[in-house]
Amino acid sequence: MSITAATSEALGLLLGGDPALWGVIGSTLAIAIGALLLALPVAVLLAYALAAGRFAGRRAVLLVLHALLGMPTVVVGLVLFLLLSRQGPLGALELLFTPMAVALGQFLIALPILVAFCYAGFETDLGMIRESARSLGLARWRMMWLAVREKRRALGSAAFAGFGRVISEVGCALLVGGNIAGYTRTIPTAIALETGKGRFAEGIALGIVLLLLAAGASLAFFWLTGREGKRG
Amino acid sequence: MAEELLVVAGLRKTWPGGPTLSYPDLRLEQGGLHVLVGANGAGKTTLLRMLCGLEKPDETWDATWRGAKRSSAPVLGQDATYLHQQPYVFATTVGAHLCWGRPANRARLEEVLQDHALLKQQDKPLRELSGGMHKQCCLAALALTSMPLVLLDEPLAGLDEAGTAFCMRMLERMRAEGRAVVVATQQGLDLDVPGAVRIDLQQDPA
Repeated sequence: MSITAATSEALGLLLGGDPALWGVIGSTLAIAIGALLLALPVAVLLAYALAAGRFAGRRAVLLVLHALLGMPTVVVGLVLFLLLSRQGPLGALELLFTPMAVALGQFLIALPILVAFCYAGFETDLGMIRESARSLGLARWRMMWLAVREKRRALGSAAFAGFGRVISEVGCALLVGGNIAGYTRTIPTAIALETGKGRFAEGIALGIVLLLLAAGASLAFFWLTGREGKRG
Repeated sequence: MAEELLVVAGLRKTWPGGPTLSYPDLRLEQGGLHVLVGANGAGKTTLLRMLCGLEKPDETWDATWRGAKRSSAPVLGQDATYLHQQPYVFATTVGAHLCWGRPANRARLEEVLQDHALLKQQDKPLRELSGGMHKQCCLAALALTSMPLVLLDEPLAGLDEAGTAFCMRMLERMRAEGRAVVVATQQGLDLDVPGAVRIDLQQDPA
């Protein structure tokens, strides 16, 4: 099949509302958004503690964090597979080859990026924000909420950076999800499978959607970062 | 004679790789206006920050607070409030900034601000104010708090005539409430107020 023919068939599948195709897109989004919703509060808390605290070992934590940024997702998948497999320490949870396992992998993959970007956002003004808030007599939790509000654009852009990374991730999702149709299949694992089977139209259709999602996340990141510090 | 809020003997602060800043003994009176005067690098900001625990002096605190011995610095937000030389501009409105930490109290706002332009600009975002207006807003917000020790870093810098008059009115107001006000300023001239105590900071050349 020629690329043109496959592409026009792919568009037909997308626009015709092919249920299997849109099902994969739906579960991909659900897993990624779920993982990010869990990871974001954890990341914000960690980043805030790293930016505000002056505790021993802070530099070491930052070093490890930045080293983890380049962590291959397939290695995360491998470690998670070993932990979740029947003989593994978390085997009793019976999470392997479930959407929860895929989400857990994405949580771990997203966390270092989210923390690093949130930390970068907090780092610039957090001292001033905290001192000003304390000067007005604000309690600790209100001060933190205020800092989150002040840095909402940086935190939002962190979320989109994390989304861009987990949405296109294939290694971990394949290992711990198993690419089970209608269950743990995500766009990247489906593309890998369909192309391997010679079904290029499905692969191209999902590729288009993935490109749009990843590009959208990058653009949102760019837009939010660009607005940081601007008036209004 | 006015009662003393804080008495602290010669603080010292050594910055890594820098000179040691030595300060005279301080007696900060309730209702007093204490003007820190000194050249750039004389350590005015460092002193203000030590007085609210944001910087640690070389030695442990040995002070008297309201007549009782005290071995820790005044706590920012409880004992002290502090205005940065260039205050942070929050992404909020004038009204919200003025009332932070307290329920909005229109009557009290009107009483403190009187006919000040800020009163009519309560819905305006802080980021749309000029630098001088923003500083006045931050000062008014501190005036609306009740911490007994007020530390202000160059509150008059960048203010026009009306802004200066407003700032002086806020200082007098806080003094009348029995709060001890400490102001760091580049020249002692612009704070020539009756009853002001001048504190000269001079550092030995390193």
